[in-house]
Amino acid sequence: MRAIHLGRPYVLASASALVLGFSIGSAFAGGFTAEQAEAGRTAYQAECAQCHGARLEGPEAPGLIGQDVMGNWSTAGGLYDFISVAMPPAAPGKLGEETYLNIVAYIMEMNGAQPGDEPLVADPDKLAAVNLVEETKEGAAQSAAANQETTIEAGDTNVPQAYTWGKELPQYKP
Amino acid sequence: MTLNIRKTILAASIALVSFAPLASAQSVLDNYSPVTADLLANPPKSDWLFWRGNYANHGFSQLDQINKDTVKDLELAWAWPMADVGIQETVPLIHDGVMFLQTSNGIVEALDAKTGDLLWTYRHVLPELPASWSYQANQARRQKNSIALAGDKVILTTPDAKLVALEAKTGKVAWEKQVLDWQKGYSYTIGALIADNKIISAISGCSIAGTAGGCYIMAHDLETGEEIWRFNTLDDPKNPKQGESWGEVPPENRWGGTPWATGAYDPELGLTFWGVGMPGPYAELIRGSGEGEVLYTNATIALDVKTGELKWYYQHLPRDNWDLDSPFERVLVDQEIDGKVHKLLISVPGKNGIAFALDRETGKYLWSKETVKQNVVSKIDEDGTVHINEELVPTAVGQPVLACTSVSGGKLWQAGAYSPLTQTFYVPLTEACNEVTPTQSEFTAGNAVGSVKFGPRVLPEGIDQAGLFEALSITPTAGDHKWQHRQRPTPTSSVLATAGGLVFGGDAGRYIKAFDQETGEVLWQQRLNAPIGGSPVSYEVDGEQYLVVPTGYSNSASSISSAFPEVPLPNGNGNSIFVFKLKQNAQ
Ligand code: HEC
Repeated sequence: MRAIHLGRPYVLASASALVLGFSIGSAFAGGFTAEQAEAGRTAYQAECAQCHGARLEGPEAPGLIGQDVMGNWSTAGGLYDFISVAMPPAAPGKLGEETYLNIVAYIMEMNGAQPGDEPLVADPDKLAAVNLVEETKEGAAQSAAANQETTIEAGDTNVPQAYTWGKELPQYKP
Repeated sequence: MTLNIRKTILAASIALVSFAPLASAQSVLDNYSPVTADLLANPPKSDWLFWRGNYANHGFSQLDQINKDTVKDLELAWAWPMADVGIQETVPLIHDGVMFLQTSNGIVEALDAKTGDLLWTYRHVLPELPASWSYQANQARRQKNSIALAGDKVILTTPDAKLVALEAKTGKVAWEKQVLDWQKGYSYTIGALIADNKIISAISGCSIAGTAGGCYIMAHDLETGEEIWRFNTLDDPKNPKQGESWGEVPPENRWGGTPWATGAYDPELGLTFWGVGMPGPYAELIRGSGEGEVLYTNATIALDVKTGELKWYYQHLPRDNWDLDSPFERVLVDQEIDGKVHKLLISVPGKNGIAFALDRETGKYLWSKETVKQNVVSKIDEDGTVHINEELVPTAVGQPVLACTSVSGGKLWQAGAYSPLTQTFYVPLTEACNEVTPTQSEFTAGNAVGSVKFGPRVLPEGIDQAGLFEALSITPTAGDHKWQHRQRPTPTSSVLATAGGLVFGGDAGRYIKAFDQETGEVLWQQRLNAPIGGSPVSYEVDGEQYLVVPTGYSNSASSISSAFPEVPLPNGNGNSIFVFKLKQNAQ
């Protein structure tokens, strides 16, 4: 099978639509609280934005937005493990557990996840149970539907896919 | 909506040139002479005409005024902030006292190399990328390793996949050529090689979703920009083995194969040598290529400069599962032993840090030598067959493996230098490992197809110094450690060897250092404003030797800074150049 998808049309969006896209009602909860995301916003803007962009778009450092980025980190635990050791370069790992959790919450929110009642906590099992693609997918799609200009948040998948895309692959069981 | 794209294309073709007001009177540009084919073949020692200084990619300066005795008397002559921020990989080029400095976003400045006065500026106007194309935007902002000088032109390769020829005296556009489609993800991140009246360039962006199936080394006519040949590193119908090595995966689901570093050229053999990067997706489980070696990824390829025909290839890392590219500088070394000239190609081609020597006429493997700690290659046979450590091949989505080196090296873009004085190859390296975990995710436009989660970069067990300046003595039969300088902050610049017996290299801790080529002793060091970046090079004007040192962030500094927390990196970006020469009264 040739794994080429020719689904959605090409849609470009203005950068401002990015931020506005996600203020939509919450039908699903992303495993973090609104307070965490708010505190995370402050921390992110102070410690990360100068390189990763005020809207997480980069480009002085890799962008932190999009379903593919979420997919690559896989879970909140994957993202937390990386940033809590490696970032920011001026003080790697030095911001403290709480701040890193808040920043994860903020990155999730910016990617379309919705806050809920349960806070994100520094328990490896719990963090590993928060699937980033699942939590952010609907938000991204919903915001896209709400505003055509933000279709890009769902990702323009009008591109070739991996040869194995859509195939059942063995899943790791630790 | 496609209208938007057209509009940005129109905007992109308008480029801006501005002049410094005082440059007119008596400018060094008045005496600027053409960079002829002859000069390129035999670069004058006062100039630095290429990324690595000559066709052989030596990174060696023939100048010796700054030497083991005098280096202590270096002082700052002038400094200059670059025109833009962004990841730093630049190399200033110098000819006839004019310095050409390019920064990210396709900006080129001409400076008086003696005084530091600005002569002209060229700003390439780039199309605005959609915000969600974050990988492509980040890649495009990365400063290229170099521009190229040819005749009375400066040849620029741009983030929107164009070749632009500028008039060296004015910075005005002579011609430009859209080489490949930036909307698919193509962008240039490295400078061109000028050889045989051709512009030989290699495209990047081949790990972005839209570029599936095509990654190219190309030759264009130096005068007109017309394409002469192209070689596709992902699809070579002339070599059935190449296609078979991808298993069932058709070209339209193949990515990577990016030649991330400017090639070398041997005029006598008529061959140009290029290194090729990793395959995409990174893990064979997701790639679908089974146990295939996925050619020509992680190989050295030798192409006929006239036709682009493949003469030979040698694969340094088959079946990559960890994004351990092998695209870095290929260095050509001739050694005469008992009347026989050995034509070697030496390199630490890949992130895993293993050094190789090949016979560059035939591609025959001669020897290899490990440097930093690595666990992905288990064995290399006498005939050069490389065996990977199959325990580190993930067989399930979500299965983490701890690979050494890391995605950020080992070796990275920072180039090594070969000194004919000591017959030694000096290489900047990093000790690091990281977890690599395959994921399954849908690809989107403008984004990468790695499909792998990387853990933070960590030191290998039992090692607490991430940085290594390695000096490898080179013969046709062996490479061996001459000396190793280990330190906690990582090397973040290319190194420069000089006829003064020195090796210059810089680190994340903001030190530019001069090592004794023989012993590795640090004879001079100076702390600057940011991690040392790009490539330090040397030139001469009016009888005085200069050393120019670029500074600024690169991936090499930010990704492993947790290994040396006692040396905090700066908050600011800092992209600058610092130019040193010897104190007047000391001479
Ligand atoms: C001084 C610039 C800088 C700052 C500040 C910074 N980063 Fe980074 N970050 C980088 C660079 C450069 C990389 C890429 C490193 C590499 O490729 O090895 C990176 C990589 C990352 C990555 C991995 C991205 C990927 O796709 O591989 C994440 C996640 C990240 N940073 C998060 C953060 C967070 C969260 C903060 C704030 C706490 C932060 N960074 C602060 C420069 C910075």
